[in-house]
Amino acid sequence: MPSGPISQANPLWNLDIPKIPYDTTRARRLLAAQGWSDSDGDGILDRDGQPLAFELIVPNSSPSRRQAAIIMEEQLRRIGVEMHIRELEPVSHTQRSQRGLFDATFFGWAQDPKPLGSISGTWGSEGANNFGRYGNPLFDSLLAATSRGTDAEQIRQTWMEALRVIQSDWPAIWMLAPFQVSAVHTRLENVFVRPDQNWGATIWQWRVRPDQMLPRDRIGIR
Amino acid sequence: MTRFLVRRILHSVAIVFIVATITFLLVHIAPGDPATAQFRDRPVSPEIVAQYRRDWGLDRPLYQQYLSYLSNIARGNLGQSFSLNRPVSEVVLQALPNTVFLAVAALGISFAVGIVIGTAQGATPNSRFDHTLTAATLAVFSMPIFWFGLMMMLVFGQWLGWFPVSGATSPVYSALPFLGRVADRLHHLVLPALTLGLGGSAVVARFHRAEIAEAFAQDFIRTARAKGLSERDVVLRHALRNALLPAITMLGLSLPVLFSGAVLVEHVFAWHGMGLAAFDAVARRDYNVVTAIALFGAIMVVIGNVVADLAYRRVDPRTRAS
Amino acid sequence: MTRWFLIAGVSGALLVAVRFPRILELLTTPAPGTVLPAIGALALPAAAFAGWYWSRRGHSSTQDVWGRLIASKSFLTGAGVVATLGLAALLAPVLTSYNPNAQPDILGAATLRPSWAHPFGTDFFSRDLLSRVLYGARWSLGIALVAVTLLVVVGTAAGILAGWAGGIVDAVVMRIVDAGIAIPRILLLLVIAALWGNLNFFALATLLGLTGWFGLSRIVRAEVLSLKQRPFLHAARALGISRRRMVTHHLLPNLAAPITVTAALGVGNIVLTEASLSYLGVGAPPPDPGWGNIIRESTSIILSAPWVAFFPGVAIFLTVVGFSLIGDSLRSALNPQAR
Repeated sequence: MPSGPISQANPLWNLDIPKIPYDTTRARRLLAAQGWSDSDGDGILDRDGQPLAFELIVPNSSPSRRQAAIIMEEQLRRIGVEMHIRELEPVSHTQRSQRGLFDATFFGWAQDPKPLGSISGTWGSEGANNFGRYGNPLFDSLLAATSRGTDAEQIRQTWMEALRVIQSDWPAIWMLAPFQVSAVHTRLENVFVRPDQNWGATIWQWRVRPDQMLPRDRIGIR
Repeated sequence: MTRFLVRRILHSVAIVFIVATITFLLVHIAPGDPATAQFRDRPVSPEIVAQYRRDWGLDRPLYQQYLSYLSNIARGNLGQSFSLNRPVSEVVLQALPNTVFLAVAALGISFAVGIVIGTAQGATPNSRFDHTLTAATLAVFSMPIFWFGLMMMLVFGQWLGWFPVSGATSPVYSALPFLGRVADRLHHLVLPALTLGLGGSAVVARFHRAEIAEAFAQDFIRTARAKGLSERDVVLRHALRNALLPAITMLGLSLPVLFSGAVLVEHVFAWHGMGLAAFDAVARRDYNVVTAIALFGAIMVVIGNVVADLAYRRVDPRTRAS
Repeated sequence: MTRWFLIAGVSGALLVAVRFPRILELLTTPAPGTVLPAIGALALPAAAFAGWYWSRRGHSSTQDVWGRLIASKSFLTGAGVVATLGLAALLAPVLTSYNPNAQPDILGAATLRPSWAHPFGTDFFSRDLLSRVLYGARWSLGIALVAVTLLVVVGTAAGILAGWAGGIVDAVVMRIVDAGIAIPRILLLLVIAALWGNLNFFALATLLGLTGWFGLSRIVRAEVLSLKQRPFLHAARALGISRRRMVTHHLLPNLAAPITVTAALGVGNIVLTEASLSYLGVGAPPPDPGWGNIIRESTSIILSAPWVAFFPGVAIFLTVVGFSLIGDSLRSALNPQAR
């Protein structure tokens, strides 16, 4: 799992954050400590007559998020939490997320190589795309500080500090930061996969080495 | 005749107008707009989104957008595609050949197979042969078309490996010689066209069987038999010829079903035609493309209906009075 | 007789109003509660037919129709298939001991081949496919029932309105119908679905019903127009019978035959459309099963676990075959000369 709102491609990517193990007994204990118990015996925890249930919205265009949601639903049910999954058409999902019309949303961002713009927009308290409405002045000021000064190591330290702050607040659960893997046959040369584009964006520049051509590569070549 | 035509054309214009209005309203009521769709997973600043809306005139009141849309289509201007930044007519024209290719092939299969089966059944009503074919057509008719496509893909594409399972051409298509291109296209066409066509053939066969059976019950067949014509001639020359025109009217009427089927088949086989274009356009809130494709579909249906009516009036003088 | 209808209607409505939350709950939770739609899916064509039968009991022609139906092999086959499917949906909790949504062992028991323990195998999430198909029947058949009921009511009303009123009303209603038929239905449904995404049971059923009545209203209108010319209605009018009585006592009984046939065929049609929509991403909310959803979920594993796609497709296929057989044999039993 990612340790924060950061892409694996980013130099700040850091796996030092302690992992939370999958532990249903501990989860139940923590919930019980908050006053949640299954008093009516329907398998769902409740408190003051209110069942512990919420709705997760997922875009129907994303099979991986859909699969993850179905697994989450099962795991939450095991600790007595009811999660209703609602698949939405992708643009509706985006709009509902923007307007805050959700209990929980499963969202994904494409991130710039330079993290400041993306992160202050999605997690800064003034951010236009801060759908969870997260706001921590300390985090904001640390973000602002990363754009000051020229000492690379110091900026890096400020960033790490900012990430530690947001991690301790847990405004979201960062589920995955997928690596896009592209495999290219060694017969091809001049292959360059742009990180910010589809893998095939530069395919017109790729060439097969002349000495390794197969009959089918020669079709149309005189 | 002229009055009939004028009335039908006025009706058709009314229908197309209603379709245009309904689709326009629906796509605009749907949550989000082209801007939301455009910047869906990119955290851009609100100014950029607002600028995008201004550039495309999406910030105007709905009635203004509707009026300018109407005046545009009345002048034959379908507008610009938001997501592809090209004229809609270009987008539609690019998707059109693939769809026409698939639809014509599917219609060909539907009618060829359907009429052969229907004639064979109608000529021997209530025989065991007839019942077997009825069961077979019912079976094909009862399968969800996308599931039928998936199963075809699995059996003929994957397990037997006879046909390609996705796309309309191979990646090397443009490098092929002319005959190679034709062969490549036909090779890719087989599974989608069969999927779309066989379902239709069941409908045609059931309809045609009834027509043939009805023709058989009529006097001129008795006359033909009495003249001593062979059974073959009776079936092919008299009954079939008589039952063929109703089948042609059916061609006009089967277009909407064909279109809906094509959306699914194109989706299953990644066949880049109008159906897939419509699907993408809805997902991108590309208003102009969605409405253009709906209009195109509606116009095809309306033309199909008028042609069917005209054909029917030619065969059946009784309908001329109305 | 009208009085009894009224009493039955009012008490039924009261019952529904009082028990509404419970009924809603039963209907909207496919697992494991949706018993009512499954019963209903069976009951609707039967009820429509019974209504027709009852309205003209005593007529000798009615006896003939019943006799022809009972003698028809295809009717018996269709009724048998539909009854089996309905019972399977109804008895799902008895027929399978697995919860259709439970993922017993997502790492060890995913995509198991069909076996004695799992006759239809398991899916990507290690869920038992047989129980998913059985519980899926509740969703798919239930939707079809509610949608067909709506379709029949709206289509009949629009057809009678257009045919009976004539003139401008007729023109307006029929242009709407023409437009409804001319818009590619799948595009219409796709756009509408984008409004809500994952629809709940009633919303999806309503959507399918309200976009499916155009064809029926054409049939009903044509029938009304031809009935209007028939002597018995002229006689009724000459006798000074009220309009409402004309519709309920003279028109509806005569329309029952085409409506029954359309309803029976409509169930199959709606099951197909619902499956297509679910395949495109508008079906039962996950993890609940519906036949279309199961196929949708299966496409990513179709090469490694083709059985997941196969069995729900067969279920849809059997449903449509069953209702088509019933519809066709009803049609030929109701007008024997058209054979």
